[in-house]
Amino acid sequence: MNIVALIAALVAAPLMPGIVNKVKALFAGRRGPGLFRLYFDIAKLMRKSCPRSATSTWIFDIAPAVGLASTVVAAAIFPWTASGDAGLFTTASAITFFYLMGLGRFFTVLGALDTGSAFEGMGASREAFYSALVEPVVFTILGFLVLLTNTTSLSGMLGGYDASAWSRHSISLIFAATAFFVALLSECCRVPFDDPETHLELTMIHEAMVLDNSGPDLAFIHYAAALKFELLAAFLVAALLPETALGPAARFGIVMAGAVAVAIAVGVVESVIARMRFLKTPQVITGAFMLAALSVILYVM
Amino acid sequence: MSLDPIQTLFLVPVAVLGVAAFTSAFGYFSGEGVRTVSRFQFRLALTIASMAGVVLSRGKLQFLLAWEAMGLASAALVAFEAHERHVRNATWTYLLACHAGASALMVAGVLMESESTMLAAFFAAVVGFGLKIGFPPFHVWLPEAHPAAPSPASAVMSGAMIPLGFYGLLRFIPFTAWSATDVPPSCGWTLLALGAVGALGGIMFAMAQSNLKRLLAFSSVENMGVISMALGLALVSGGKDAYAFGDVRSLALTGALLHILNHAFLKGALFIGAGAVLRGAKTLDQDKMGGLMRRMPLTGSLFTINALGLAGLPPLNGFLGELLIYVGAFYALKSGDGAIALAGFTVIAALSLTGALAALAYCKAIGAVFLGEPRSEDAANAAEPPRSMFAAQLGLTVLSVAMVPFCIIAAHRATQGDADGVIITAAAAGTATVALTLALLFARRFIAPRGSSKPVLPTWDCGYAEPTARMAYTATAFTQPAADFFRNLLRPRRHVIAFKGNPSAPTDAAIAVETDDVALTGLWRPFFTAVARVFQRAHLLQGGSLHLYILIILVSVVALLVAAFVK
Repeated sequence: MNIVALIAALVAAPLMPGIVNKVKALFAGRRGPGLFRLYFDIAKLMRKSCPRSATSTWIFDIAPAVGLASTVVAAAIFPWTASGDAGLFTTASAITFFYLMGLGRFFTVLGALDTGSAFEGMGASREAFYSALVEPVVFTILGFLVLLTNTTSLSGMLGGYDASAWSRHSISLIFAATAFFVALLSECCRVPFDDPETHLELTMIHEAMVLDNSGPDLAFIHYAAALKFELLAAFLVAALLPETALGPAARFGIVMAGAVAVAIAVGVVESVIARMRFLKTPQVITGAFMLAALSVILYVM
Repeated sequence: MSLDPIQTLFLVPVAVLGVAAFTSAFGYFSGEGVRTVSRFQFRLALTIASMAGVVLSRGKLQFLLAWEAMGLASAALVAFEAHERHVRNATWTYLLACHAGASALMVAGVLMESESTMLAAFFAAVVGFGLKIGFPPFHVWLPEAHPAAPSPASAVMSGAMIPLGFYGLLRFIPFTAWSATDVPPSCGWTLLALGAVGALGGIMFAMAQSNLKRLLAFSSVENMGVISMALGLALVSGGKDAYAFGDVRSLALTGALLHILNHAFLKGALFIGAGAVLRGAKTLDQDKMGGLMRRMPLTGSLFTINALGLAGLPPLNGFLGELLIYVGAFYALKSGDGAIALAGFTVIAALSLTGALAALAYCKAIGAVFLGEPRSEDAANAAEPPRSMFAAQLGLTVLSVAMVPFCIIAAHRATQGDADGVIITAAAAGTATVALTLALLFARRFIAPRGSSKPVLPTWDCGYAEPTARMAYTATAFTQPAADFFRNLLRPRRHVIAFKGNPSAPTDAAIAVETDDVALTGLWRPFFTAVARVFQRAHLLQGGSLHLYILIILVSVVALLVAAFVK
């Protein structure tokens, strides 16, 4: 069952940026690109060639593939259909899940540095810095989930508690969810941390890192970014969803619907606020860490 | 003589890195004559023998003698290029740390004779061994001695010698009257706190360094901190063995011991790689390197793999060791005991930030040294070092890869199958990522039009037709946002040469940033300056005037007389 859900999730991933963009277009009063835009883009990129910079080495060559592979494996150890100790790997460790994303980022950053471009170096530097700050936020939230659900397996952590926990620990859950949402915005390079629509290289982060990629490599990168967004959104939803009597199919449906809701929320956020000054954003992440720590403190007290 | 498991565990890095350093010395000193090589290898052999002596010694006195011999022999290694001033200074710092450590150990040896002073003995041992391990603020010798020593020596010292401090600590605890389960919690908390500060501080300073070997030395401080945190967690969770799911103690201890081995192989390879870079590019300043991957592909590839392992990322061994520590810390959260849960929480928070900053630091090292275009003439003319250096790195890398199944077996046996699911999932996920990457690369060859991925163009630098290496991000620039964020701790010194003259035709401008060790500039240097000032006063007594000496004798005789009568 989980494998079917995994395939469905892999197929649905490129919808996520489409939803965000559609919401932004609606806010701006435009029609905007279609929901399925990224599918067409990927199909088109797959037919193109990938010219490479003469400066680059094997690192640049493998970086997009590592980024995609690590994200797909992270998706494979994610419990799409079940809460409690079930899923493709019963004790799939949450730590591995996030460290695989770290592996992808490591190579994306190296791939950017491999071109020797000033702009890509700038993007790489900022990406590495933001993600370093986000890491403690995510792991503090994981700690909170361990406390809440009494288990350390990823499938157990996500929704391994009954609905009454929502009334007892509602404030903790809200704080943790808010902190994770901020972490998601930063990890997926969304406003206020990064503006995916900017056309000025100096203000780009993720897009700046992949300026020299093209063809199938760029398709890998775009798809991996969409999948990562879907994964983190699904993580947020699954963590908030208590154990229910619903079957696996229903749970998967709810998780995916929730991921769409997260995408809509991201679209709203991007429409109502602007990208922050680079020097201010670390303070936002620090604030998210405070919220995550508070969720633990409130739970313990 | 039979070895117990702990002795074996600490002897393995000594032996392996000994062989690696011996081999790589041929390459490192090639072109400097046979005498230089054998002079170095003689000192190396003495060091390795005394390190083995430390592990094999049975009694306290034997141990102390071997410990002192190890300090002296390795000081001779640090001083190998003593014709350079900074090497001599580093040697003095190192010798001072060695002797201070040994004297603290003597104090510990005396104090541990009595039950009532056991706790004091423990703290003396923490100072004594901490001076070798590099607990903050005793780590000051590491970033001085490692860049000064030849690379093969740094590999042995960082990978095999400094963890011997942990051997001492692990031996100290059973020596005492405490049974393994009733070590006072303050001991565990001490190790945990020192470890957390060491890990975070170490990696923050590491990322801000522009000297490659200083970066690696600070990264050793970080890794020893991680090990110390895990040992502290194991001690804090002491007597409470059985938890609802898993045993914090065995997980944390296994993670710590595996990390000692993992760090030894990975860091050994990186230090030898740094030696190869030094030979190739004639500098250790990362801001003056770049583009070495195309000039030294073997060294560059092995350095990248080992750095990936040391950044604690899957699929390599470094990740599996840290994973066990994480899992232990997560279990600690659910122990139901407030203190243990707090310890677990501290470890999780510190380890996650440390891991992410380690990834940043190693991205910087790889990026600045090996990627992009060369930023100096020497880097542009760099070439692969002799094959023996490559052989040593390759051997250590193979061992690191072989550590992956070993970590699984070790975790299985230490936790009686409890951690199987977690560690096998982690290892399988890592392997799956490698396999999928290869599959994607293979598939891409068929998808993309034939011959399309040949490197033919210059980097597209947003419209500049001819980007130069001077436009690329340097090592300092890469970590500037992070270093700036932590500036209150790092206290970087900036040397700015501002634009002058006509703003439409500005002259050259430059900025250089240096990050000194705060413990050295903020604590030890003022401390020793103050000590020196006090002793300067004592110079009065030795002023060279005969009258003064006679006066001193007279005063002492009178004082003695008075004392005798009073008694």
